[in-house]
Amino acid sequence: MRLERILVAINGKDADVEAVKLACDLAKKSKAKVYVVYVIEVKRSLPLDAVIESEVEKAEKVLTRAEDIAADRDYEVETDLVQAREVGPAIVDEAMEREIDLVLMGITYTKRFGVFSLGRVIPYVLEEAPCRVLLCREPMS
Amino acid sequence: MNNDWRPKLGDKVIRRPRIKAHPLRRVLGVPGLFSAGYGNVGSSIYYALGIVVVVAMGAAPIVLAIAGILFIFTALTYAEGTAMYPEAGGSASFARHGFNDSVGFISGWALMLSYIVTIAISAFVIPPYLGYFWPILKESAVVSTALSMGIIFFLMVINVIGVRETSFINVIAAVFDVLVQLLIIALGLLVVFNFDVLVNNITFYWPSWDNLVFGVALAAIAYTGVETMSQLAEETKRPAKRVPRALVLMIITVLILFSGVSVVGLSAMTPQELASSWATDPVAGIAHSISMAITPQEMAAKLATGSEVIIVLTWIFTWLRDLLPVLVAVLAASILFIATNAGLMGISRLAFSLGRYQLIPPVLGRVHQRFKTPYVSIILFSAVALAILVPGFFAPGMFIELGALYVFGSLLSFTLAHASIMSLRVKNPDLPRPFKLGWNIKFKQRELPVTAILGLLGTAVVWLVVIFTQPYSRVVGLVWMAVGLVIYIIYRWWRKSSLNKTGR
Repeated sequence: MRLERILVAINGKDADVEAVKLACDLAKKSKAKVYVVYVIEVKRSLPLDAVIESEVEKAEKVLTRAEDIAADRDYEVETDLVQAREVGPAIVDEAMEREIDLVLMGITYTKRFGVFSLGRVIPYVLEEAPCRVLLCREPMS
Repeated sequence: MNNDWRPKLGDKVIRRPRIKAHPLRRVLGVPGLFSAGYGNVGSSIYYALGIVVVVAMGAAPIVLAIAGILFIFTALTYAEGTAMYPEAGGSASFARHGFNDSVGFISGWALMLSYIVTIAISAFVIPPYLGYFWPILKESAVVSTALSMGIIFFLMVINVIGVRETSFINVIAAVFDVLVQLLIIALGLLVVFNFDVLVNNITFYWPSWDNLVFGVALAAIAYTGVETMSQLAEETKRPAKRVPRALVLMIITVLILFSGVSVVGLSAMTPQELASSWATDPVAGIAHSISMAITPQEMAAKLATGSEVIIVLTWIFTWLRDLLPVLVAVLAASILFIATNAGLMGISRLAFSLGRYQLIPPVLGRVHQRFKTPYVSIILFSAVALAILVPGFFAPGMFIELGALYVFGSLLSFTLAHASIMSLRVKNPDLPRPFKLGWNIKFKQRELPVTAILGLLGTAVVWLVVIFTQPYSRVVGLVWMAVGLVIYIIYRWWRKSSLNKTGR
């Protein structure tokens, strides 16, 4: 599998760390470009380009942490902050626009109503992304 | 990384800005955009016909057609404006660019009024449609108004909390609604349409000149969703092409549906019947009349000869007869509920957008720390919508007044949209116009679109008619505008910002 462009979608959870590390390791072999994206979901009662200071601040922190993790791995990543109505379509759209070969996402082991749940973003990306999708799940503990 | 690092004097910290010039993920295509716009225009069919018939009686189809022509001109103007400036704000945005901030404010503030009335009027007519299941909702003004207020309050709470909503639901609702409207028209033409009865109902119940003109004004209520589509331009992929396409699609759909439903309506019953028993739920009345007129066996026998086919057709007609009124009641309530919610979201988006250009105090666009929603504008404008529903407890016919107030806000805004497009043609003739209106008149080396000139004259005249003939709209509308202007002038003075700043 030859990778030229990898997209890591992060959301500020612990699982991001391993996802960014894994992306860097995978990218090193083929010197692939790694894009890290954080999507701010904007409610429909606000214009799409509304700047929500607290959200932007949080996103900046999360993306800076991703850059630091990559730097520790001796790799450079390109980070992007995107605003969208829904996270899933935004990730898929980003992947299509950048002609991404692999979308990588970290997930934590979460249960909803006693059942393991992938949430709503991951199933959407798995179903709609035109490229390969790799999930990196955190250990249960 | 060394956390003790601090920049020394002369150190340059270069940080690549993460938010690019266009950090937005635009996902709406023509279907999403059409359904959002249709959600607004399509919902108005459930009350506009009743309002128009109460005033214009037999001339309802004619006044709807005249208003439809104005609607075509307005939609075309919006297509040019939105393709030029694909941003939230609609006519307020055109006016800001075409004239200055003050005109932009007047347009935006007028638009806010029409959004508030959309919220109130859509919620007000939900209970009469649900009256099919619970008659008290149609019979008691107190119960009906209380439920309408409850709906607004409920939507206010869920919008402050910020419940997820996808455009997928809008698309499904719009498609389903168009299909049911077409079914009503088809069945109506098949079962109740009679040309002589229609002509008789139009001529016998022809209104006075005053009512005819006011009818045209009120009929404009049927076509105001054009603004919603413009507001969503910033969420649309390739808006310069897709917004005009969606607008044209909406013009065609709405004109077909409105003409069809009004013709069927006046064939199914007299204008007097429609204006008295079914004024707040006219489509339910039409569905009821069609349902009563369906005679399954007779109709099946007329359409087919084979006994097996007749049995199947009889079953289908029986099923349609029983289902149609239920379908209309459920669908109307759902579409109106969606329209109420869309109004609430639209006004908070507009408030945020106006606040960004310092047209209103940005406190109205303040975002809740936890829910990330513009809670101040949602609560404030819901409260205004609730307040204007209070007379509904005592005067069940107040929805005519609401209709006129809606027209006051939206037509002022449309008039300024036409004027702004023409001003931009004069001030910036070389500005890129991905969608440029045809049929232009040359005046001093400038091209002025005929449709915008006619639209400007038409909407301005109708607006003046409302001002001069409707005391409720005149008082409430002008007070609303005056209060807004005072806030705007004080706010600008406090910000030390000129009133005549031109659009950015």
